[in-house]
Amino acid sequence: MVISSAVSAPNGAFDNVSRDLKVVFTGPMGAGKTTAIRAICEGEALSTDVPISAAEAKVGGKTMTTVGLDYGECHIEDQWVLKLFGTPGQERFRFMWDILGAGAFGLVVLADNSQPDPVGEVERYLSAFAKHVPVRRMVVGVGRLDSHATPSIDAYCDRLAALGLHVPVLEVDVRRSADVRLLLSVLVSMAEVEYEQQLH
Amino acid sequence: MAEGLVIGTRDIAHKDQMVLKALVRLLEGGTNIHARFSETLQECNVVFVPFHGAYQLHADCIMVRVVHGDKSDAPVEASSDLSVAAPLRLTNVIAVLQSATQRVHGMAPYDPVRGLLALFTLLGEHTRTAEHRRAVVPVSSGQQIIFDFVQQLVHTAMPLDVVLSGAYTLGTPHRVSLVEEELIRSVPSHSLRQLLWNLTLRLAQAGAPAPQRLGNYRLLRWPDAVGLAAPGHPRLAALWTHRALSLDQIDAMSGVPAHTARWFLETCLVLGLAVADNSDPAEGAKTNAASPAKSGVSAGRSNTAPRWFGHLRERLKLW
Repeated sequence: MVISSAVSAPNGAFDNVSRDLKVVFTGPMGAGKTTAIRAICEGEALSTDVPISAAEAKVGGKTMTTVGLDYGECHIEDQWVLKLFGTPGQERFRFMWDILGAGAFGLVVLADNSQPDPVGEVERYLSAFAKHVPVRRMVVGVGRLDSHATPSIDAYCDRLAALGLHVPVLEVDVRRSADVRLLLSVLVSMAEVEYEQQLH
Repeated sequence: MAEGLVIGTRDIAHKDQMVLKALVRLLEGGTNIHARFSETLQECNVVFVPFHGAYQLHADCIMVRVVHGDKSDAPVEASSDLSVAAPLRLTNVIAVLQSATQRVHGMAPYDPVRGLLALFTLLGEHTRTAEHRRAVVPVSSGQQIIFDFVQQLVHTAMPLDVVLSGAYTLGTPHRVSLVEEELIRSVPSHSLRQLLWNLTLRLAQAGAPAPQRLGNYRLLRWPDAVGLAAPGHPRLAALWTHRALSLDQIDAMSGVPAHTARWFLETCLVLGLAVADNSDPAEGAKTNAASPAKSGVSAGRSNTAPRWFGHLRERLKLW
C-alpha cells in the first residue's frame, strides 16, 4: 500500500503534484473515524480493528478499535485517487500519526462531545498534524452534540480561534454519508481557494 | 378592509351573541388572532347570522351561518357562506375564524416573496440586536409562530413547509402571554438557525432582492453545518474567510449564482459571522484585476482551479 504519495508538500503549496489525494481522518477513540471512511469510500475499507480492551470499553459501547490504520479509496477521473486514511485514536499509537500525516492533502479531526474535554482533544490533534497539513486545509467534525450539548460549536470556535486556529467546526453524525461529504466539501472548497490564490 | 377580522352578528340568539363576544375577546387577548367585535355592521367583515334567512350585507363581508342541532349536516344557505355549529365553543369558533381570515386575505393574494422577506427581516432584527427574549408573531392564517431567541428555537403548529412558503402576512410581534406559554409545550419545536438558513435558500431560489451591500466583507467564523449544506455555500465561506471581498468580486470569482451569494452574506451578517472590512482597498483592487471576467456558474471555477477539483466534487457528490 502506498502511504506517502500526496498532492502537496508538507505545509506547502500545490507542488509535487501526484495523482493521489491523501486525506487523514483523526481524533480520539470512538469519534467515528472508521465509520466516516466507510461512509464515503467505495467497496470494502481496510481496517485493522481488534477487540477493545477492558480498560477502554467505556467509550460509546464500542467493541472493536483501530490499532494500525483505516484505509479506503475513491477513484476519480484521469487516474486520480482519493485516499482516505484513519489514524488509531489511542495515544500509544501516536507514532502512526506522523507516518499517516506525511504529505497529506487535508485533515479531518473528529471529536466526540461525550468525552471529557473534547475541545482540548481537538487542539491536541490539530497541533500534532500542523507540521504535515496547513491549518487552511483542516476541518473539525463534532459528533454526539445531540446528546451532549456542551461544549457548543461556538465554544470550540472560540477556544481554537484563541490559538489562531480558524478552522471550520461542524456538527456531524458520521453515520450519515452526507455529513462526511459536508466535511469533504468544506475541505475541497478551502483547498480550491488556496490554489486560486497561489495562481494569482 | 382592515387586516384583522371585525366581527358582528345579526339576528342570532342572544346567548350565542354573548358567547361569541366573550370568545372573540379571549382570542384577541390570548392567542392574538387579530379579531375584534363590533356593533356596527357596516365596518364588519365577518357577520354571524342564523342558518336560515337571506341577508344583504356589503360585498366584502363574509357570512357565518350558525347551525343549531340537527341542521348541522344541511347545506348552508349560500355556497359562499361559512358555517359553525352551535353551541359556540372556542374550538369551532377558532376554526371558522381561521377560514374567514384566509378568505379575507384571499381577496388580496399573498406575495410569497414578500412573506419570506418579512420573516427574514423580523428574524434578522431580533437576532442582530441579540435581543434575548421570546416573541410571538401572529400569522394571517390565524396561527402564530413563537420565536425563542434565548434557546434558539421556533415553536409553531404550522408545518415548516408552510412557514417557508411565505404565503402569509405577519402581524406585530409581542411578548409571550400565559396562554402562549401553554401553547409552546403543545406544538413542535424547530431550530431557529435551521429556519433562517432554509429561508436563505428560498429567498435565493426566488430571486428575492437582497439589500445593496457596497464595500468588502469577510467572515469572522465559518457558518455551522446547516449553513454549509447548500450548493455553493462552502465555496462562498472559503472565499470570505480567506480574505475580505466585495459582492462584485465574489460574483467574478466564485461561480456561485449572485442571489445565492447575496443571501448567504445577509444571513452571515445577521448571525454575526460576517463583518464589513474595507481595511485594505488596494488589496481589493488587486483582487479585482486578477479576477476572471464575470461568467457563468461553472466557468468561475474551471478558469482557475485544476480539473481534479471538479472531478472530485462530481465523484463524491460534493457541493
